[in-house]
Amino acid sequence: MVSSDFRVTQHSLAQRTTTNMQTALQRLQEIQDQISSNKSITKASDDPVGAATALRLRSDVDRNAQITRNIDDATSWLNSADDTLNAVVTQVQRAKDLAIQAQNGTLSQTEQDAIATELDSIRQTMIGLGNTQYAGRSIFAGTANTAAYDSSGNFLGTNNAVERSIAPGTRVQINVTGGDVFGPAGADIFANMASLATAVRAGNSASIDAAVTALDGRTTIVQSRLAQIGATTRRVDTMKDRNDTGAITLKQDLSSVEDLDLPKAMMEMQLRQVAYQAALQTTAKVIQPSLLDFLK
Amino acid sequence: MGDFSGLNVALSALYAQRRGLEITGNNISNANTEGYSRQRIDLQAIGGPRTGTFFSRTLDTGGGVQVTGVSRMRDAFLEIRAALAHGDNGNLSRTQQSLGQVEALFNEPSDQSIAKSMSDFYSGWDDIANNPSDSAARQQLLSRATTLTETINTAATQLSQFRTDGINELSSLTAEVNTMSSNIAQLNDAIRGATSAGLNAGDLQDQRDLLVQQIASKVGATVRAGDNGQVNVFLNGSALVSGNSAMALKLDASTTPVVVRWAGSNNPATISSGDVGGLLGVVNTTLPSYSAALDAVAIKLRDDVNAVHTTGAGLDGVSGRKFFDGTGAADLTVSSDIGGNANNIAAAAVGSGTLDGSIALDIGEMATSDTSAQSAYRTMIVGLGVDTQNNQRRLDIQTKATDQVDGARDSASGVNTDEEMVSMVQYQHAYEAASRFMTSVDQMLDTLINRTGQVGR
Repeated sequence: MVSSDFRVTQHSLAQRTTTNMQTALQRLQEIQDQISSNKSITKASDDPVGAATALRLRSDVDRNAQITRNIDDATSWLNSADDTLNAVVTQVQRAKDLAIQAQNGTLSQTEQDAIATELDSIRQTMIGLGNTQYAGRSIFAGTANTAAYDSSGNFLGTNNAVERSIAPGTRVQINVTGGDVFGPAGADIFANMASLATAVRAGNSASIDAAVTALDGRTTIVQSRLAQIGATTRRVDTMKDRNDTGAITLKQDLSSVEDLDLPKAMMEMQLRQVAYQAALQTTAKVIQPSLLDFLK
Repeated sequence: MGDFSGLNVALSALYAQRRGLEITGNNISNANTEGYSRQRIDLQAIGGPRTGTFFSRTLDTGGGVQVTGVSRMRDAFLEIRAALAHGDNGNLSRTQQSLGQVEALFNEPSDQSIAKSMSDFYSGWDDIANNPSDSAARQQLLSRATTLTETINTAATQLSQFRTDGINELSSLTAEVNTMSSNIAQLNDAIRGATSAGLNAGDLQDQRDLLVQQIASKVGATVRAGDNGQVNVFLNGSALVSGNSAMALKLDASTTPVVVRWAGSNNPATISSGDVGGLLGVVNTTLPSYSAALDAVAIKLRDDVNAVHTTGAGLDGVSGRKFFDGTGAADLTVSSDIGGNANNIAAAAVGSGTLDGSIALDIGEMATSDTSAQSAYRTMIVGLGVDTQNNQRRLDIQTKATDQVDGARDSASGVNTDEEMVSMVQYQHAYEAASRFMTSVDQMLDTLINRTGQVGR
């Protein structure tokens, strides 16, 4: 670096040692900044490629958190639908039991009326179930901003799908609509119940049989929708597991890109501290003596 | 040698050594003066035996010593190299300063940045899709969208503010350069006068050379030696200072790109180095390119979201509303079609029912798209990182080179106090010896005059 005929002056020596001390101190400050922030990338130019990955991963982490919210919402919705349809099946079972009672030919009109009244109340319960809400929204009303059924059992909703985004680019339909699960207007489960009650009131055995058969047919469909909801729930659960694992992986990846390797950084800081101290010590030794100290 | 000339020889030696001692003292005094070049006296013997003709003999022993001049230890070639190195250094460090500002402005990667606001914005759409009639989710999206547009607006405003600041700095730099070049011209004139009168112009030259190095670091000038110790300073081949006349520069910020012109001819002066060169690059290229990239991101965001949003319907069933208004990053806002009413945000596809969320889902999914505004923004940030890193590396290398040249200049011109101490001792001893010589001649004469011819007195 310095050839033998290179004159060294006190000024250049002072300049050079100042520069060296400054560099050593700067390097010490850099590593101390990194350690105190625990980040190896604090600005894009620290590592442009790493920063690109970090930006991408940060947005993926945000997306992942949103998808967790979407999935939780979907699961609650599906559970609510599952509970409701199971309750409907129970109600149908009770109605069928009453129908069998009514088939007993020895009932008086009063007794028939009593059974019919009970059937009517079961029908009202079912309409109530059809209007089940999740987070203020009727789950069988499709995309309509109304209750699914009015008090007489007329369908007010739409038969459109309600979807949730459960993975990047993957949507799943989480609703079953009133028309689909309870049957088309005029021939739905509530109409079946109404005709059963009428038949019981009239004591018409053939009509009771016909109404029970229709109810059975509808129950089969409700059960198949229950199976469908179960399948969707499992799919959403799988996605939740995958998403949760993804969250951990993403955070690990982000940490490995952005965060500091602390032991390594501490080691580096030690080295730089030593370098700085060495610069200070040599400076103190070098700049002090001059010929003046030795001339008398 | 005449009997009395010995006294004159001693006198000339006393003068010369004293002058040497003075110069040494001056060197020591200026050991830390910026731009000072160490000086040496040039000594020459007086008279002495001339080259004789054949067979001629002389008894002439010479008449002592004389100071023929004072020379300034300076390497002209190193000065030229230093001027170039300082120019490049100025250019790179000024550019680095601006890139650092831009990086700090975008503050990526962090939780307070445009990228984060964008993520939040896209997430907000999913919350609406999950519950389209929920006014809290809608209000949340509206405020996130406002945060995003305001963050982008601020960044755009700051970028143009940086540019305005840069132009102001350029205009004061131009004035500074003009002052310096006219000072150089004046010093050149004084140096010519002193040199032709045979005087020592070393201090004037030092002052002038310091100004030349300073002007070089401002505008990246090249230096050539002229007559009578003068120097000429050139900007890309055109004379900035020629002898005792200086050409003024002026800043023309009325056009884009901003140019520096010669005040006299109004022709553009090509400056690609020094602080001015760096700033011109920043003002004309660097900052506009980031402004343009940010505009492109804002327009991409506006177009992507609007293209989907206009096809959807708000809670009131009305479709065709835009989500964003604006022509670029500086004036991007949530559209007046939304008008601050969160129910006007279109989450539903037309004809799919009021509580449909498919439009909101479509917009939310832009978060993971590789062609979204977010990915355009990422590309811009990575570009900024690469530019800054490259420039920093070039600056580091250039700083090393500049330090080396400065070291070499100091090696040639700087004062070494040890050396000066040695010279001081040398001159002092010589002075003592000359005094002793004078005493000795004096005693000889005393013997001759006062003690000779006294026999038998």
